[in-house]
Amino acid sequence: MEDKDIPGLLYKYLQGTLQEDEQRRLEDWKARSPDNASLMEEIASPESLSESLSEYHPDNKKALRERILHKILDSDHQFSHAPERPVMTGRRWWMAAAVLAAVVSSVYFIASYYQRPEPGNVAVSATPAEVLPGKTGAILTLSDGSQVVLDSLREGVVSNQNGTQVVLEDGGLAYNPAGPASGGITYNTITTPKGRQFDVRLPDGTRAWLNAASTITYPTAFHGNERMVKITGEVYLEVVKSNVPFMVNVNNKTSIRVLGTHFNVNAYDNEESISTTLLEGSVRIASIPAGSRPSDRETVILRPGQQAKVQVGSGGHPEITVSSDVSVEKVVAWKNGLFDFEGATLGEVMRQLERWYDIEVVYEGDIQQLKLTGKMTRGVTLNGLLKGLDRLGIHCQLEGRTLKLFP
Amino acid sequence: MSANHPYEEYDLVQRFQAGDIGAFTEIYDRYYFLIYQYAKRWLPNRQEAEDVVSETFIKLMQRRGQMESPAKITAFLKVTARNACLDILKHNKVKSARHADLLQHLLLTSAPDFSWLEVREEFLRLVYAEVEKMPRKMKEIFLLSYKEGLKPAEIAQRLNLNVQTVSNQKSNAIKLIKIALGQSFILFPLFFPVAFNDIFEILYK
Repeated sequence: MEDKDIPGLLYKYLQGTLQEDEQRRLEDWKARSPDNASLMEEIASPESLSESLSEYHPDNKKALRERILHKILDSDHQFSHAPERPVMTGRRWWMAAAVLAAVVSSVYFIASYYQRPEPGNVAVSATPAEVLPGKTGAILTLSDGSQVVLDSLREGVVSNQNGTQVVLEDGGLAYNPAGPASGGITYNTITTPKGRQFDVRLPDGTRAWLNAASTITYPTAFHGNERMVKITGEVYLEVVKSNVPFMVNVNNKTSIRVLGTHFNVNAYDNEESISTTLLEGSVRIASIPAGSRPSDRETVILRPGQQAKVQVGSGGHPEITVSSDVSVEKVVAWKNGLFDFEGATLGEVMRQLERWYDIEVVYEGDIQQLKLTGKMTRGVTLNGLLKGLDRLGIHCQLEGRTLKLFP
Repeated sequence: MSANHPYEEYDLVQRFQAGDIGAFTEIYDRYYFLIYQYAKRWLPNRQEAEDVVSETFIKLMQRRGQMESPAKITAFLKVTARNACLDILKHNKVKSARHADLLQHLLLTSAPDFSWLEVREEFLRLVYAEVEKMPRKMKEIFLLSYKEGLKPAEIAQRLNLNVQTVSNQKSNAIKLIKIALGQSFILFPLFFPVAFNDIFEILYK
């Protein structure tokens, strides 16, 4: 947009808080075209502004969008065979992803080295019930062991603990200090099952996004000389800058120490290593050896764009390897509502899909090492996905929640 | 419009040309409201404006073979939307003086300029972003009054509030936005003769 600051100025104009130079800038813009002038008149008139606001009301706008879209799709048979996907809700980043999710109903893969079989012989079995993609949701475990299901349907104060208010809003959880803390430190845990993801704002303002099948444990208020959390599964963290170090314990095998950075940790049990990928700032990663001999402890410091993998080496001790040629975008694709399969093997892809669709994948034949490329939104139903696989010549059979793949 | 999408523009256009409905919907989502606003500017009623939008996109789909670049798509949408508006105005000019008048006007303009429409859409988005920050009850009143054009009595009934208070709120809904910004919040009760306690009760319920 050419007039980037104009909407903001118009907003101030509505409020009557324009500064003198802003006023001039707006007058210049107004004088540039009759359309601009009419827009200012519209804003100045309560009746016309009310009408515009009514049209832009999220529900009304959505209804408008769908009314027109259906009319268009009804008119063209070539386009109308694929139904639209349901829209997911959540926080802003998730909303952005939802736009894509609503939009993209086609899955496309390109096999990099796989022979395409003759068409026909398609073995997608008829599946009575659609397996839907995952959505926002989690379980909150309070310090007393009680559990609260967090989903987008509920909003408001979830609990009050030790001077901190826990609030569910826009599908995410936030901790707001509400009064003086009393007593000792209390810990909360958020767990996402398979097929759910969730984001939470910790008491210090740090934000954590949990992928499916993940947990984060943290105190309801940070005190003392370090901010300590524990995670499993896959979590993306945007740590608020502070002089108090932020420590992440991963599966009790790796610890990450930061002051204020953005990074992703993938530590699923069924992945071969714990991968930490740094987007911003700097982090120090240390392996935690099983036999707590300090000499076995390895430490590395990452620069943005680097990834550290901690895995058990040949001697039984954890080893850290650092690579600089990772695609950061690919690593955090999940957080942005996408699967990015660039260069991944079928086995790797399926492990992600198992968590998101809450399915189990079994293989027939040696196809796990097959390389795939392509992207897909996380809003696609499993059936849409299977059609994409089928085009590659990977045949699928879905029985209940077990997906059988064969060449 | 910005195109901060993970999908490359080129890829999007290619998929659209290949008949991918997802790609079409992505393009639709970028432009439908702009075109709707444009049509609303020139046509007396909503239904006509909606028809312009659907017709414009139907034509875009039919001609997708020629749409090799994002720039082509944008240019095509603008010209087609203008022509669709002209058609409707021409068709109705005998019946309605308003249509005839608008037709004269529109004929004098050349290619549609979307930049002010982008400004308008962004402005409206900003207003709703501020509404999101309002205290819950106030936000509810605001959204209800704009969603269905509800009258104060109806809002009161739905939200279980006192009619008189809602009436004050509703008639000043625009000004509520100012208040949401923090500015003159304390002055609010001075401007509007509502009991101080009532206001706080409503805003923070």
